[in-house]
Amino acid sequence: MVGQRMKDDITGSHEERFLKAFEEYSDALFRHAFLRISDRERAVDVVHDTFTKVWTYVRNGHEIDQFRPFLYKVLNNLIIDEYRKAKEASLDALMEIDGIDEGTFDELSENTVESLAATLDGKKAFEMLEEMPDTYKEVIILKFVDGLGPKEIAVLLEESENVVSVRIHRGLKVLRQMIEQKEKEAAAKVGKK
Amino acid sequence: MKRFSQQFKKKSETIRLRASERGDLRDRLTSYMEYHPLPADRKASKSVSTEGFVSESSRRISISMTYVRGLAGAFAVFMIVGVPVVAEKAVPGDMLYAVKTNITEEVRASLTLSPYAKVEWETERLERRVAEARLLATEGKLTPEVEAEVAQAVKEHTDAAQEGIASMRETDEDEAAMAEITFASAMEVQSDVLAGTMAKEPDSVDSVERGQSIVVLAGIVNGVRDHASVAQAGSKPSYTKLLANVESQTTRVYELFESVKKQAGDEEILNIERRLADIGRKVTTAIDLHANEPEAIVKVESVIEEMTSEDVPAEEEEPVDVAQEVAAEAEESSEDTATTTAENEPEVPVEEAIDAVVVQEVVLTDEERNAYTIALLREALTGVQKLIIFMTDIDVRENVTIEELLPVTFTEQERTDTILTQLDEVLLIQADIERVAITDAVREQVVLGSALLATELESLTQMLAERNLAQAEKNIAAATVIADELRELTVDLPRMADTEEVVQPEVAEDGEVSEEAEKSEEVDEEVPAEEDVAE
Repeated sequence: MVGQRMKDDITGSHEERFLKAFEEYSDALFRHAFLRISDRERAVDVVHDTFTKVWTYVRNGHEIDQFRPFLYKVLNNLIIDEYRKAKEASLDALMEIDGIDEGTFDELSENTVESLAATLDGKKAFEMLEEMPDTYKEVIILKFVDGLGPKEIAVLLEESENVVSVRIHRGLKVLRQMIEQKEKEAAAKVGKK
Repeated sequence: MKRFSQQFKKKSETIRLRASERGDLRDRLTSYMEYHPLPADRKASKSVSTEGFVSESSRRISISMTYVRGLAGAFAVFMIVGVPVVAEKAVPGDMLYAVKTNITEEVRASLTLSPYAKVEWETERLERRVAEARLLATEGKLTPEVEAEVAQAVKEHTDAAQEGIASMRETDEDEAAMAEITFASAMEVQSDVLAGTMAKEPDSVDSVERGQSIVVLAGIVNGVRDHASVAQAGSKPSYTKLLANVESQTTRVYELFESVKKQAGDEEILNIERRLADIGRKVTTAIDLHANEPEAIVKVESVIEEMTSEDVPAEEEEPVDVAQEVAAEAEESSEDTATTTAENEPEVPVEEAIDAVVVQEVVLTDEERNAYTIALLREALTGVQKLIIFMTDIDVRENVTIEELLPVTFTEQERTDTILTQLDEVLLIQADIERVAITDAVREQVVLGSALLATELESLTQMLAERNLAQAEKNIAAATVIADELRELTVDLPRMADTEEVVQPEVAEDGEVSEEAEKSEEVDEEVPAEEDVAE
């Protein structure tokens, strides 16, 4: 009995490992989902669907070595499905509205991301998150909320690392623009008064 | 960058699943897993050799799931409802005892919300522990280990109760005082009951051992009682609260009394009625006193005199002391010591008598009156609570008589009557001794004794005339002791011819104090004369 129990601790049954993953990641997944879709109930549902999908995957005979990236992947797909259902404006349209140019080469460098981020106020940026186009929101959240590296994000989104870096960089730029915009509006309001 | 990501992350961490959402989600997920279990071959994966064993056993369970569920349900119902009910009767050493003390009682403890109810419940638990110990002791099953356990439990419940009282004191002083009185009176009952149990079976060797075995427990309970009564005396409840409490408890006593009247014997009913009357008198006096009725004040003055003349030596006579003594000390507390001192030093009663006269002139301050009112009500409340316990707890009734638990409070008339009866007896003895042909061997003792007796009786007469009953009671007690000793000294000696027989019937018929006093003085004077004759 004792021996068996100890082995269970190391390897664990599928159920145990799965439930452990739930305990460990449900909060982070929910946070991610909530930030992306800004609806508590729907975020909870998405997290639920993520886990049931993963469970089905396990039932079908697949092995999961690492739950975290896999869970994020499923969650991300489900969130994109949510967007499709909601028929939100396409990324291109959003980008046109905001008037953002295609990136330059320096956007690929991690250093420039850091220097750009250093100019931003984290609290204000967080408040802007909701209004961001999802393409950027996604990477920003994955990087700064979920703490994934560019490589992990790249795997998750099935994009190259370069694309991910550029997106993060642009995302931060968008954030800065939005913050500045808001500050201008606020200043204008005060001025009118 | 660092700052940005830190701020960002910190902000994001405010977003998390609520506990309810999380629990809900987990339930949804586990039920999903239940309805979509892994196929049998999936369970055996991961190349662990014991897995086959595991899968087999789990398969067997899944076949009989409905049965298992049904059985589990029945078992759960039994565990939740049945076990605690059965466990209520458990005593230390039974398997279910732990269920009783650790589960059932704890659950009840957590269900009691008000601190007062909590203290009451802790008190009841303490009573239960003592009752269990006594039950085991009478069955001869109380081992030292069990007793240590019980003692520990008693200590814990005491602490819990006192903690409750302390926390109550922060919010409601009156309530805390009330709880303290309740606790103290419960402890008095328990200590009396234990004493009763010990006194009950000193017959066989076996029961001596048993008796000894609850000695430790009795010691602990006595300690708790003393502590509680001191704490109780220190608290200062307000008059209104105390009166309200006394009244509500009295109502409860009368209800209880009505319900037990049918089964109780005549004597029991009389006994209880008598106690109820005592309590009623105390309450009435207290109410009158509070309303500043002059009659009540006079009455109290006389009581205070009695108390102080008992307790305070002449030099320390101060009004403040009087109030404190009255509030703090029970009447009977120092009676024993007083008797012995009176016996040894014949001058003491005289001195005290003078004190009493001095005290009579002390005018009651508001503070004193108030203290006395509270003390009266406190006594009444203690009495009522003891009565409740006596009437509700069959266990207590079996081990303690009501007189032990709650002695009758005598009215002045009753006290005077008792003194007079005792006086008759003493006078009879005195008369008898006078007829004894005293031998040289005992002469000195008899002469001294007779002189002492004469002094006591003289003082007694004076006290009776002044209506100082407490002092008179003390005198008569001392006189009785002396008379008894004298009788023992002379019991074997031959009696002389009856010369004084006429005196006896006259004294016996006497009801009037003053006349009697004269008689006793007469008799006293005759003692030396008698001795001369003997010589």
